[in-house]
Amino acid sequence: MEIEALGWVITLEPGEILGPGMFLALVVALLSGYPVAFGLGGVAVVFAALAMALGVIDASFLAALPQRIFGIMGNLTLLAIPAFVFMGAMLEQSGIAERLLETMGRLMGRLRGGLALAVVIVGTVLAATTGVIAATVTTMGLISLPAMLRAGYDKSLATGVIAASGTLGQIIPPSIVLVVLGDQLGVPVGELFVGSVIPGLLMSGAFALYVVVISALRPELAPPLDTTGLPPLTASGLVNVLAAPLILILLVLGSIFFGIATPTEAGVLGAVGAMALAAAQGGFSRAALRQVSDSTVRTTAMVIAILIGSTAFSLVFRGVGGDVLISDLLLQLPGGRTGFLAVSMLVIFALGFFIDFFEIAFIVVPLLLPTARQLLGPEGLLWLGVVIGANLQTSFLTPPFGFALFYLRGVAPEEVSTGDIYRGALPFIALQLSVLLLILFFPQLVTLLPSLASAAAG
Amino acid sequence: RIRRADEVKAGSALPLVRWRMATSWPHSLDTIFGGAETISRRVREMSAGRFLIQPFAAGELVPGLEVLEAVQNGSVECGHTASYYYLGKNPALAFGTAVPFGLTAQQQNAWLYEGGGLEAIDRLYSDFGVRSFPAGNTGAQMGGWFKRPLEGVASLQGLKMRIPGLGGKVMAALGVNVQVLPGGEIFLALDRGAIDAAEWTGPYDDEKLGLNKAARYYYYPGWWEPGPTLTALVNLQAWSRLPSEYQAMFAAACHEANGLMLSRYDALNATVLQRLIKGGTQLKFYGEPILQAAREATDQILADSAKDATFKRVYEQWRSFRQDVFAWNRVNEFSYTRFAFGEAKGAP
Amino acid sequence: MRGWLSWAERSLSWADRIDALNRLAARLARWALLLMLALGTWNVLGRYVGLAVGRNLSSNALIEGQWHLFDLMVLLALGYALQTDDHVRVDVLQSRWSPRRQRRVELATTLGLLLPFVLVVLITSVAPTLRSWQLWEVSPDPGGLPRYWVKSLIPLGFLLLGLQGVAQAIRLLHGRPPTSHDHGGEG
Ligand code: NA
Ligand code: NA
Repeated sequence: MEIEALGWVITLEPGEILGPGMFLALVVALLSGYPVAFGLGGVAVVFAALAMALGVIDASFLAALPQRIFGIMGNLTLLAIPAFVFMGAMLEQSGIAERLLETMGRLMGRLRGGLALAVVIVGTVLAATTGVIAATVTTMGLISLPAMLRAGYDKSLATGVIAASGTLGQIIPPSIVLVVLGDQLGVPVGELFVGSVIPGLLMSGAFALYVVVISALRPELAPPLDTTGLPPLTASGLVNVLAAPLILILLVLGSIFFGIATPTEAGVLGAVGAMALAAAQGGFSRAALRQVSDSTVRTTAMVIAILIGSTAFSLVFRGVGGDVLISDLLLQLPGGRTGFLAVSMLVIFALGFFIDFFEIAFIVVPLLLPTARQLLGPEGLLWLGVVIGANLQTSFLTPPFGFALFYLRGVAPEEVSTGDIYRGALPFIALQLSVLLLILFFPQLVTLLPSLASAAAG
Repeated sequence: RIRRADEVKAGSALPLVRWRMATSWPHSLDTIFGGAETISRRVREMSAGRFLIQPFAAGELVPGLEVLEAVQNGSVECGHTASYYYLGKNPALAFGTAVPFGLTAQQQNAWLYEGGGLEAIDRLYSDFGVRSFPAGNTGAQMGGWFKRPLEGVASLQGLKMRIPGLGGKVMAALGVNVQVLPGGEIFLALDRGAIDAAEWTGPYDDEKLGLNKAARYYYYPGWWEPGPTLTALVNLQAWSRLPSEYQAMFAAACHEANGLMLSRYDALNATVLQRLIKGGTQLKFYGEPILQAAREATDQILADSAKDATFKRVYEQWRSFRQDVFAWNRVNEFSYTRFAFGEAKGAP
Repeated sequence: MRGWLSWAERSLSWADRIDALNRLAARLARWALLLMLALGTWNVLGRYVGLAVGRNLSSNALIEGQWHLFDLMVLLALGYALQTDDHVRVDVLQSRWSPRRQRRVELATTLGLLLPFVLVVLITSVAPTLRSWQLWEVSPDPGGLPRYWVKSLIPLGFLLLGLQGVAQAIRLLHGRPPTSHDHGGEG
C-alpha cells in the first residue's frame, strides 16, 4: 500500500500489520480453549482470506498447503513418534515402567524425591534414544506420572520434572532436532552431536540437583516411597525388575550405537521389544494391545495435527511477508555480536511459544545464518547450533504455549490441572536458562569435546 | 518505509513485479541454492529493482520435492529444482537432469540449447502447464562414500547404499540393497553403519554433511550423474503475463546461473578434494568391471522404459545426439584431457 | 414445533452416525499401526537375515510401505481424536467458564476455526490428488510404491475430521455436550 502526501511516499507493507496480527489472533484463538492444532489452522485460514482481500496473496498461494501436509506425511523421522509412544504405553500398560520407576525410586534409598530423581535418570536415558520431544514427553507422562501421583507427589513438581526431563531428548544426542539444525546451519551433524554432550549432561545434572535440594528443603512435595507394606528389595528381585527395561534400553540404544538401525527404526524395535517383554512378564493380552494401540493412534494423531496446523500457520505467515519483517529486524540491530545474539535468542525464545521446532528451524535459522557467519565465523556456527538447541528446549517449557506442556497435558489424568503443569515448569525453565547462559558465556563447554575429538582423529 | 516521491517515480516505466521462487535446496547447499540467488539478483539488477524474485529454501513454502507441483498449481510463479525428481510423474523427465552414462555438463548444455533437448523437455513440461530453463550444473559428481573398499561386481551384492533415482535403479539391478533416506539421516546411518555406502554430490557438499567422517573410501566417478542440469521452472500463465523485457531478463539470468554454478563447483571441489585427501579420505576408482556391468544394466533399464512411446521419443533423439557428441569429443576433448591431466600425473 | 423436534432428532442421529464412522476409521488406524510396527521390524531384521541368506529381504517398497501405513493411521484418526477429545487445548480460561459458556465458545470456534480450515484443505487438496491419479504417479525412487492413493488420504482424513466437527456442532446447537458418551468398547 502506497500513500503519497506532501512529496513523500509512505509504503506500508501489509506484512507489517498482518504478521503481528496473526500472532495476536493466535493468542486469542488458543485462549478460547479450542484445540491448539485447529487454532493454528483456523487463524491461518482467516488471515489468508484477509490477505487475499487486500491483494497480498492469490487464492492459488494456498495450493501449497496440501503439499506441505504431504511433506509432513512423507517425513520418515516422524515415524519415531508412534513407535516411542507405543513403547511407553506398552511399558505402562504392562506395569514394567511403573516397577522400574518404583524400583529405581526405592534404589535411591529412602531418599526424599527418589522417584523424581529416577524420572530425571530415566528421562536422560530415554533422551539418549530419541530426539522427538513429543514422543519423549508423552512416553514419560504415560510411564511415570501415574506412579508419582500414587506416591503422593506434589502435582507441579511431578509434571515439571517430567516435562523438563522429556525435553532433554532435544539436546542429548542422538537428536533429530540437532540433525535438522546441522542441516540448516551447514554444520557437520556429528560435531553438533559431540558438542551437545556436555550441555545436555549439564541440564540433566541441574535437574537432578534441583530435585535433591527441593526435596530436602520441602519434604512434603516429594514424599519418600512408602515401602513398609512391600517386601524388602532383594538382589534377585532387583535384577528381575531391572532386566526388562535394561534389555529394552540396550535394544534401542544398542541398535543405534552399533549401527543396526536408524533412530526411527530403533523406535520400532523398542515398541516390538516392549510387547515381547510384556508378554514374557504376563502383562500382555488382546485387550492390553487394543488399549495401547488406541492411545498410540490418538496421541500420534494429536501430535501430527499440531504439526499440520502449524505448517498452515507458517505458510500464511510467509505469504503475508512476516518472515521479511523478522529478517529486517535482525539486520538493523545495534551492538554487533552481543546485540545480535541477545535479540536472536529472544526471538527464538518467543517463537518457541507459538510454533513447532521444525518451523523455527526453517523460518529463523536461515534468517540468522548470513549475519551469524559474519559475526561468529564458521567455527562459531557449531556453538551457535548448540546454543539454539538449548534455547529452544527452554521455550518448549514456557507457559502458556510451551509444546512440551501441551503434550504432557494430552496424556495427564483429569486430576492434574493445566495450572499445576504451568507452575511445575517454572523452576525448570530457570534451570535451563542458567545452563543456556553458562554455554553462552563459556563456549568451551560446547567446543571442548569436538576439538578433542578432531585432535584425536588428526 | 518512507521515501521521496520523485525517487519512487523515477524508473517506474516498467511495472513492479514480485515473484516467489520455490526451490528444492536448503540454504546450507549454498552453491546449488546459489543458482536461485543468481537468477534473483540478476533480474533485480537488470530491471533496476522493478522485477523481484524471492527464492525460498526447501520446506519454506513447499517441501523440496514438491516444486513442480507448486509451479504447476500456481502457488509460486517459478521454481529452481532438478527435473529427475519428478520421474514418478513422467519417467522421461530424467533426461532433463542426468541419466547414467549420459552427457557431461558441456554436452548436456549442447543437447539442451542446440541439440533439440530443451524442446523435447518442454514438450513434457507443457503437460504440467510449465516451461523450463537450464539454470545450473554441478559438473560430474562423485560416486559416493563406502565404509569398505569394493572388490568387483560381486562385492555389490547385498551392500546397503543410499542412492536415489535412476542411479539407484541401476545399483539395484547389480544387487545393491538400495535405501532412500532423507538428507538429514544420511550421516547418522552411514556413521553407525546402518548403511554401508551413501552418495550425495561432490567434495564440497559431501564434506558439509560430514560424510568423510562417516566413511573412508570415496569412489569415482559418479557415473549416474556425469553432468546434471538444475532447472528453473516457470508457470506458463505467469510467463505469458510477464512483460517481454522481463522475459528476456529471466532467460538471460538463467543462462548466467547455468554457467556460474558449474564454475563455482569446479573451483570449490578442487580445493576441498585436496583437504579431504589430507584428512585421510582414500580415493578409489570404480574399476572397469563394475562400470561395464552398470552400463549394461543402464541400457537394459532405458530399453525397458522405452516401451512407453513418450519416453522412447526423447530417448532415441537423445541417444543419437550422445553418439555424435561422444564421437566428436573423443577426438578433441578426450585426446587432450587424457594426455594433459589423465592417467600420467593428475590422478591421485 | 413438531418439525423442529423431528429435525433435532434426525440431526442428532446423523451426529451419532458420524461418530460411528470415525470409530470405524479408528479401528482401521489401529490395524495400520500394528502393521506399520511389523513392517518396520521386518525392514531392520530383513537387512541382516537377507545378508545371511543372500537375498534382499528389505526394499524401498517396504520402507515406503511403512510410511504409507503411518499416513493411513494418522489421517484416519484425525476425526476420532477430536471425538475422544485428545487434541491438546489451552484450558486456562475454559476451565473457569460455566458449561453453557463453554458450549457457546466451543460452537463458535468449531464454526470459525475448525470448519474453515478443513474446508480450505479439502478444496486445495482435491485437484492435486486427481492429477496424481491421472498420471498414476509413482515414487521417483527405485522400487518405490504408487503415490496417488497416499495423496488421497489428505482429503479423506480431512473429510472425516470435518464430519466430526459437524457432528459436534450439531450437538452443541442442541445444547448438548459435543461428543456422545458411548465411545470405546468396540473391538
Ligand atoms: Na536425544
Ligand atoms: Na549425487
